[in-house]
Amino acid sequence: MYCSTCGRQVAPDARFCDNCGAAITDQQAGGPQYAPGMPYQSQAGYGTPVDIPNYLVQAIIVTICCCLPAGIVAIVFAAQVNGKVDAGDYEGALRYSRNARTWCWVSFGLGIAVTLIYGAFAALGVLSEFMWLL
Amino acid sequence: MLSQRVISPQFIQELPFWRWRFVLLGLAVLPCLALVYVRNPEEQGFYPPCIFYALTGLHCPGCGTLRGLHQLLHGNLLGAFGYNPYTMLALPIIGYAFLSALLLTTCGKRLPTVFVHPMLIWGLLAAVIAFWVLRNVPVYPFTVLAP
Repeated sequence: MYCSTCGRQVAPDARFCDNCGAAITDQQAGGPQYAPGMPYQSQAGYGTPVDIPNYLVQAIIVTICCCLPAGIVAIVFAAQVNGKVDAGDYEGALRYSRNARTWCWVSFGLGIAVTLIYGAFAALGVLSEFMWLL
Repeated sequence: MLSQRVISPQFIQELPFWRWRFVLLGLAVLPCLALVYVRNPEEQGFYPPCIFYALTGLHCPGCGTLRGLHQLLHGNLLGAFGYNPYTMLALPIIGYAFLSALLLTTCGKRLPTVFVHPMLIWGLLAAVIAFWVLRNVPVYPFTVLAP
């Protein structure tokens, strides 16, 4: 069974799509009306503008936790998602939505990487204190 | 704004725990909060420092989050705001987003979503950058913003 909104395969007893949150009704159970890879069709797609995620909350979280400019970039894309939705350009909104998601992950990944590097240096620093034992 | 969609590769979505991912996330956060409650971030050396602060000596918009959370968990709301007002204002929004994602993924219930006008998000961006700059100004009214 497939979600008619985004084309993702969903569980047979699912009432809502796990991917896009759209309601699953029995009449859609026949097969994919919109398979992954097909060009996005706005008339068949997102019913309400708020269904396009803008990743604003995630952007706020990475700005707070990772202290990196990538979080600021993610907020910029979140604003553009809602700007496109406001203008009725859902294809453009989806494009910016994917960019916002990418930048949230970039920020998250950079934050983790830098913390790990710091942790490695801290561990080396601790180790060097015990070097005289060797 | 608060609609939560997580788009991931198919094989991850087919894992049995995928439906409970936000429950697991919540369970993972709880011991972290317990740690922040027990160990005061005010003492040096236990938590990693902010990378931006360590590199530049300047405060970032997130600096003071751990110390603020510690104060908040001990019931000192005023102290929490003193360390980082941005985080404290964002916490209810993050909490609602988490709750709506939790209900949507586990039982399919949808909490009301809010469409935030794009100008408001641009305003948030300007506010965050202004907060970032102003909390580093070492003159009286702005020193209140520093952690």
